[in-house]
Amino acid sequence: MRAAGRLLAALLPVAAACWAADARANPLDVFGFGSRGTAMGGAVSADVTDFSACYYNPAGLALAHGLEISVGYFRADQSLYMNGKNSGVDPVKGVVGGAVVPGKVFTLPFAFGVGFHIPDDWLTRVRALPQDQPRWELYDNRNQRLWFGVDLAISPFPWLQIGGGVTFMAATKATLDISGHVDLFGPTDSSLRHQVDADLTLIAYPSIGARIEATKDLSFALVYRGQFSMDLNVDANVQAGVGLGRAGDLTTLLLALQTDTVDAFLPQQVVGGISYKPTETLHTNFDLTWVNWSAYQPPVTRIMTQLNVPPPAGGWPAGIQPPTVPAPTVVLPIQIHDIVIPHLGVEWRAITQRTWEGFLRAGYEFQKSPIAAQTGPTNYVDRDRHSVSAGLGLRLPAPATLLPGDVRLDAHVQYSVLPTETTTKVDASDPVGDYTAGGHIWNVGMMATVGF
Amino acid sequence: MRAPGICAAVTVALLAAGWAASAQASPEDIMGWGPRSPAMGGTGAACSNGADATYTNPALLSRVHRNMVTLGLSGATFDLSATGPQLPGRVSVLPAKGYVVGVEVPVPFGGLLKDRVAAGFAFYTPTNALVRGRIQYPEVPEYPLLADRAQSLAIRIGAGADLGYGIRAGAGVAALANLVGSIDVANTAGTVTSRVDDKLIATYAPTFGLAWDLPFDRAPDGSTRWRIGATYRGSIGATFGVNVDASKLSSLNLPVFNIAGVAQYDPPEIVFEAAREWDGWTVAAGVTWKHWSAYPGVFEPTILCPADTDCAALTPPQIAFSDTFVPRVGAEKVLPLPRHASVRLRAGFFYEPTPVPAALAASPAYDLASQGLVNEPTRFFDASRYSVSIGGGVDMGDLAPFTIDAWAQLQALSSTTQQTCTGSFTPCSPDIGTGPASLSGTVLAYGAMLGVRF
Amino acid sequence: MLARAASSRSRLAGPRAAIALACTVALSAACATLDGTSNDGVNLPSAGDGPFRPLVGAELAVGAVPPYVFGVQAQAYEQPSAVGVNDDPSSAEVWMYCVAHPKGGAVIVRTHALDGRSFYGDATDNEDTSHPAHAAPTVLSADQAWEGGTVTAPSALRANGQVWLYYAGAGGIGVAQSSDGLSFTKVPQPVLTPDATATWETSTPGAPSVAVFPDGTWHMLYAAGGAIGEATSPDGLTWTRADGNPILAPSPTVDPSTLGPGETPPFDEGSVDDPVLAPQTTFDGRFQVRVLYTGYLEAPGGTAVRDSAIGVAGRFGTSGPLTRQAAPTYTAKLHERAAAFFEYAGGSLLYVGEDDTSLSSTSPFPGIAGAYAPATETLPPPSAFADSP
Repeated sequence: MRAAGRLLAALLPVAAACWAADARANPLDVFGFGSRGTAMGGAVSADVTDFSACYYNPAGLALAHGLEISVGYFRADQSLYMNGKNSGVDPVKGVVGGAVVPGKVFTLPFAFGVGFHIPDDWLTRVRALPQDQPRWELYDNRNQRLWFGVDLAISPFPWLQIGGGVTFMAATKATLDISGHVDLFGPTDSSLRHQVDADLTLIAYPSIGARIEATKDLSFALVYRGQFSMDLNVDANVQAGVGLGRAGDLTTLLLALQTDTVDAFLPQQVVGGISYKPTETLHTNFDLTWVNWSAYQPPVTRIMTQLNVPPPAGGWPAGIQPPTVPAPTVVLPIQIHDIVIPHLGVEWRAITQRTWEGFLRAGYEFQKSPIAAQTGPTNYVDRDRHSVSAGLGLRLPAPATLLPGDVRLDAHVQYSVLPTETTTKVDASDPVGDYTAGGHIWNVGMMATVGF
Repeated sequence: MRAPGICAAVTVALLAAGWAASAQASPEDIMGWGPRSPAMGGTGAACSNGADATYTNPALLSRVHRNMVTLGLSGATFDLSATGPQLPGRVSVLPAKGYVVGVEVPVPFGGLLKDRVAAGFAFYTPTNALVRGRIQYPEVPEYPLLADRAQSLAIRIGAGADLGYGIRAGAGVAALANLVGSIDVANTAGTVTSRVDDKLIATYAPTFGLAWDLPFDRAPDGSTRWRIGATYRGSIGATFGVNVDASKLSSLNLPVFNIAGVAQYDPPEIVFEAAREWDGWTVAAGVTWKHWSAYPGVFEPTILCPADTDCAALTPPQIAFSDTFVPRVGAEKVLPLPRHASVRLRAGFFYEPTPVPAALAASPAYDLASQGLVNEPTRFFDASRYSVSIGGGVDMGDLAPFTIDAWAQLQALSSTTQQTCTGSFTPCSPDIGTGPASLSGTVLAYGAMLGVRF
Repeated sequence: MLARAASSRSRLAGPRAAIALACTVALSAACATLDGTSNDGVNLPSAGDGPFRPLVGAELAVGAVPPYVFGVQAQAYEQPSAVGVNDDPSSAEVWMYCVAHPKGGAVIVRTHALDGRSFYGDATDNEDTSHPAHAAPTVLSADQAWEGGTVTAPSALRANGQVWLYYAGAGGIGVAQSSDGLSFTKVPQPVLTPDATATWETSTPGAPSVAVFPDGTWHMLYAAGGAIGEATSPDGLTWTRADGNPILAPSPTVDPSTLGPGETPPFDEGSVDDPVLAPQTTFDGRFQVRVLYTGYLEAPGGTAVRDSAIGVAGRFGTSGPLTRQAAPTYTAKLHERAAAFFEYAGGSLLYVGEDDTSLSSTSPFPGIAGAYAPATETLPPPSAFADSP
């Protein structure tokens, strides 16, 4: 039976890879996940056991002692400016939470975890803009999406935890066919019909983590998060007669429109972390995250257009100009490089009473902008980001008969500053020209956790 | 009861999971969900005892007393035909196949709620695509209520509580998403520029369940033998609406295309069921009312008339769907083995009447050859189905924390005819050269699952 | 909102508060994922000079044929120049000076639009029978010997409380001044004439465009010999050619056999003409000269109508050659030429002369087309026609 247990331990990550649904995206990379992790600057990969382990390090789930359910809310207001004017970047906000279900399979500690971030306004938003349009590339649209993770973890030895899952989101491929008659004088009187054939196909990537407890006070962590992108390919075909009113067709219109968009590209990441407890009440953590930004694909829609409208037999009537066929989109490369992000975090159990405990937390992280200075025709605006954070925690052990476990309340505030710098164009005929860009972000939130 | 907080938290997780479904809905409405209910003719509103209660009746999640994860495969193959003038005979339909994941977790409250609350999660995703949204021209022969509805992600979550006195209550939610957005294409200085802006907006439907362990005819150990259950499942659908604006692409005054439709739809449903459990036997019978008359249909106009303005754009055909009653019966026999292991045998039957009328309105279309409007037949095929199902399973008891289950359903379409009327429906005047279509076929659905207790 | 409320209550730490908080926060999930409004690229930086797209029907007066904003067959308007009526940066009210060809001659007329699109005296304006026919009045005609009987290529600017109207005649470039923009007084002699030492000027300078730079210096761009030159002046009247002329020459010719699939030769490898000078100071204080111009694919001198497009070039600083964008900033393949440029808080409008085929299928004539940037944005509905020129 023990051999079967080991076999199961080996198979679990595979099973996770086959079955778990873990739709990772970007808001967590930028704003953290859960109040404790955010308050500690994201430096928790070796020191996390709650639902947020689904993001920070799935291996931590195996250390949970009982069923925990967490729910909370956060809001990050992004005051980002170009040329002194607010760029109107939408806030990132939504419900955050998850659950951890520990147990044992044979004799091995085993845990199942789920975590989520659901935006208020939409589940996901795909937005592709003209490539020369200035946009806050890492803050504007990439964070407007849902994150949903399901992970499994085991602890084959008391000093080792392993966890992981597979992340998936959807790629969209759709073909639209439109046929009928286009009335050029009264477009809304056109006799058109459409049919649609759309598939959302699966994109999967792995997520895996390990935690090693070297001593009672010293732990190490290693986490890998795979690369992801969401493709949106839409083809539209229009085959219609073209005329003035319904009095027959002057000519025929064949329009084939192919659009290919890569959205929400998430580079692969490797996190190394360390957690040290100099005293019983103090946790000091340090994480380094390597982000493979050099593989980034910008969300620019590639468009191929074929437009065939032969001139009418008698020539174009007065008032109608012959259409021109535009050239296809040429996507300019983005210069972006890998970065390493340091995270620092501390947690101090400041108050210990019989009926409650109080925690103070603080953190710092620095993300150097991976995007090269936009001196050319593209305008993927970004700046270095310094983030300082703080948080409070309250733990109430077994506060009521109904609740035999802990109840915890955690809150965080994070302030990020993006120093204002000027982007100077090399070409004086650039259609966008020079601009300054910078700003700050306030991120506040809180969580409630009920343990059993 | 503090369950609403937990329930809501779990509900949130479900909503989260719904992101991926930009179209289409629940295959469980066609073939059921889980290791047990599909084998028992889709019954379960009064007899489920695991994660399948998330769909059949969330109140019965309160019967869960241990953690379990269920993993498996299920699917269906279709052999559908439509014969008649200008019809292909066999209607090509891709088989449906998908992964199943179920989770059942007791919530260990203390005090009054000790051992009374549990939550469940039910998930199905097709193997080849998460969801499929296909709306063809009305004259293309297809069985839209069968074929593509099985090609869709399905996500449900729920929680149930034992309130005492044999009364159980539960709630849950199913989630899908609507796709809304726009694609604007412009020709600037001879080059195409574009803006794509699409959003997935969650749609979700509540599920409420009640069950009552009747206080008479008890077993010698005092356990109940009779239970009745009722479930309400809200309507859930997935629509898409994308405006394609190519009016700035050329000097031609093109209209804005409204690419929209209802890709998937499950009507509101109410289920009543009674079950008796004794000596390893479970027998259940019930009926499901499906409010198909609320179905808006799949078609949307390609050109939207400006507000408060009449225009001559084509209007797709409207279909008058009718409500249906689905009777179901199912049975299970548990054969005990040593060390708390057991073998389970199951069988069931249901009859699903079609909500689609036998006569449909014609579909207007523009004919490029004749350069005028014509009437096309509306080939929105469907027929009533008889389904027989069998299944079996093994619970390994103390030998290993595993259960293994499998089931199969054979659904036979009753032979029927459908026709398109260009004018009055009484009598129908199918004078567009197609004549009535004769419909028949079978659907073979199957599933196999492994459960792991932990 | 519920979450904020929950946040404030969390300070009441305790079992009841904790449970209430959990429920409250969880209930906020009920509001999750409802469709919300989103911002989309507001206040974005832009040099303001394109790329442009043609105006569409909904952006023009009812009955107007897109993209034309000003056209009357008998007048054959072309070579526009636009100047704002007031100093309000949010106002699109504009005066447009352009060349008219009544009975084969060439005079300069003025028209007026409150929204930059609905011009007084346009053919569409005159379809409104509720008022007498509107006609753009002539503000300048040839009456000097050096003009050779025609005045063309107007370039208007407001400076020193006057409207200055530079124009081209047969003998060079002249200027007239006006206090109301309608009644002009000419300076009798041309202010820029051919110079034998400027060897690249193989034709008489014309197509002027004038602006006053922040240092008070007047700068004029002009076209000659298929290239664009620059002159400076302390007062707008006495002009000196700048060193290093020309500041913009045609793009080097590309051998068609070297072009890849889908590639086209430079749109301006034949000649460059009709400059529009539009200086600005960037947000961070760098002075930038923007120039729109007409690029021709073929060199001048042939008999066929040449393919043309509107390009954009620029430089940082007050002097020196221009660099250009490889792609045109506007093209509709309708022989667009001689652009005018008007910038306001709502975007940028470009006016070009095009062969207007919309009003006559048999005899195209020049009309003035409108274009707009940012190209992906849509202008609000047009206002009424101005009731005065």
